Amino acid sequence: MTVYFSSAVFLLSLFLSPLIRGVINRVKAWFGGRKGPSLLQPYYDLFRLLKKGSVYSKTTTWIFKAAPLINLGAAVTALLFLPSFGLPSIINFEGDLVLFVYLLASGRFFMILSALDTGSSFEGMGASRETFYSALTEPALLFALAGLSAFTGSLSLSGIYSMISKSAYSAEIIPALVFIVFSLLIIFLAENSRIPVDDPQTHLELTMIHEVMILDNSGPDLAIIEYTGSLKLWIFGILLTSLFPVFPGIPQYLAIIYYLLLLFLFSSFIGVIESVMARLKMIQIPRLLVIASAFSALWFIWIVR
Amino acid sequence: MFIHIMTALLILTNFYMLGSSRLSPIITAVSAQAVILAAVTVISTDLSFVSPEFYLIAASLVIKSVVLPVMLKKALVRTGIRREITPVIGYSLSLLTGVLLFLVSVKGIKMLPFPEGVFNMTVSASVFTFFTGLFLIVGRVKAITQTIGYLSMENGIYLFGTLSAGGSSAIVELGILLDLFVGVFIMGIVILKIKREFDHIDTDELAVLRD
Repeated sequence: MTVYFSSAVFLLSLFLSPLIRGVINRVKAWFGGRKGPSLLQPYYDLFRLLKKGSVYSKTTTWIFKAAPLINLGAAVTALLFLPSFGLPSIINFEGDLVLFVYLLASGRFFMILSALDTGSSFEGMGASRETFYSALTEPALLFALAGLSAFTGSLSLSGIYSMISKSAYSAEIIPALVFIVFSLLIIFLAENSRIPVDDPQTHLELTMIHEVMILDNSGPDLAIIEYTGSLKLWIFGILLTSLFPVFPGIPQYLAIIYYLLLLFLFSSFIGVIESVMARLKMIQIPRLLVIASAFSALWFIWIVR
Repeated sequence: MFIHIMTALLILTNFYMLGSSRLSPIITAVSAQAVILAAVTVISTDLSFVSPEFYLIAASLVIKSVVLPVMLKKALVRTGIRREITPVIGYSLSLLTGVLLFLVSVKGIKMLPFPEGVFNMTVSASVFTFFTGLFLIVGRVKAITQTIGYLSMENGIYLFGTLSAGGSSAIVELGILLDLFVGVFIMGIVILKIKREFDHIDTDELAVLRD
C-alpha cells in the first residue's frame, strides 16, 4: 500500500516541481508591485522550448548533448531516494544518503563538463565558480545529514525522515533545529543558484554563475536543464520542510496536503528572501557557505555531545 | 525548554561576534548575552523577588546590558570607527575556529562534576563564550573589539560560576563586575587618548617604543 502511495507521490513530484519556480516568481513580482506572470508560466516556458529545435556549436562534442540528459537522470534518480510527504522513498538502503548527495554532484559534474566543452571563456568562468561554490556546500550538506542520522540512528534518508515523522522532538533538540534549518536554507539557496549567491535573472555574463554555464544550450536541451533545475528546487525544499512533520496518526492524504502547503509556503519565503536581499559580492559567498558549514557542524556537535 | 532555547541563542551570539566585521552589532550581541545570562540565572536558581541576590543580578544586568554597551558605543562614535578592517585572523577562519572551540568546550566539560539537573550544553555554551572572548582578544586588532572580548569572557565566567555554584555566585559576580566596570571605563578613556595621539586605535601599531 505504501509503495503505491510513494509512487504516486513520486509522479506528483515530477509533475508539480516547476510550480515552485512559478510561486517564487509570483511572490517576487508581488513584492515589486507588479502583477507577475501566471503560476503556470514555467510550464508554458518548458513547452515553448520543447517545440523548438536545438542549435549545436561546431566545437561541441557528444558530451554537450549528453550532459543535460545525464543531469536529468541523476536528479530523477535522486528523487527516487528522497522520502517525501512522510512516506518512505521508492528505493532505500542503509547509507543511501551519501549516494543521494553524490548523484546530485555527478549531475552537476557533467553540466560543468558540457560548459567546458563549448570552448567559451564565459562558460569556463561559470564552470569554475560553480565548482568552487558547490565544493563548499558539500561539507555543509553532509554534516547536516550526518547530524540527522546520528539523531535518528539510521543511515538512509527514508529511515531518518520516517523516524522524524513518527516521534516528536525532545526539548533538547528543538533549539538545535534552528542551526540545521538555517544551514539547509543556505544550502538550498546556493545549490539552486538563488539570490544571495547567484541571480537567476541576471543578463551580465561576468556576474553569472549557473546561468552562464547554459548560455549555449537551446531548445529541448534548455528545457531539460530548466526542468532539472526545478526538480532540484523541489528536492532541497523537501529535505528542509520534511523536518517539520505533522503529528502522527492523521490520514495520509491530509499529511500530503499539509506537506504540499508547507513546501509552497517555503517557496513564498524564498521569494521574500530574494525580494528583500541583494546579491552578495563574489568574495563574500565563501563566507556565507562557511557559515552554513559551521551551523551544520554546530547541529552535529549538539546531537552527538 | 526555555533554558535550551537560551543556550542556543547564547551560542548564536558568540558565532555572530566571531563572524561579523561591524563593531556596533557586536556590542549589541554582547549586551544580548548579558540579558540571556540574567534570564538563565533567574530560571536556574529560582530566586524570589525579595532575596538580595535578585537585586545583585538586576544590577549586573543593567550594567552589562545597558551601561557598558552605551559607553562602548559612545567610544565608537567619538573615534569614528565602524568596522574591523584588517583582523589578525579572517572571518571565515574565525568561524571555523569557533566550531573547534565549541567542540572543545562540549567535550571538555564532560570531565567536570556538575550538580544534578544542569543541562550540560549550557555549561559548554558558557565555556564557549569564554573562549570566544579570548579569541576576540587575540584575533582582532582594534582596542574596542578587544574590550568586547573582555566583556564576553566575563559573561562566560559568570555563567559558569552560576551553574556550578548556584545563586551564591552573584556576590562573586559583583566583584568581577566592578573590576570590569573600571576596566571598560579606563579603556574608554585610553582609547580616546590613543586616537587623539595616533589617529587610530590599532593595537598592533603600538608595539614599537620610541622616545
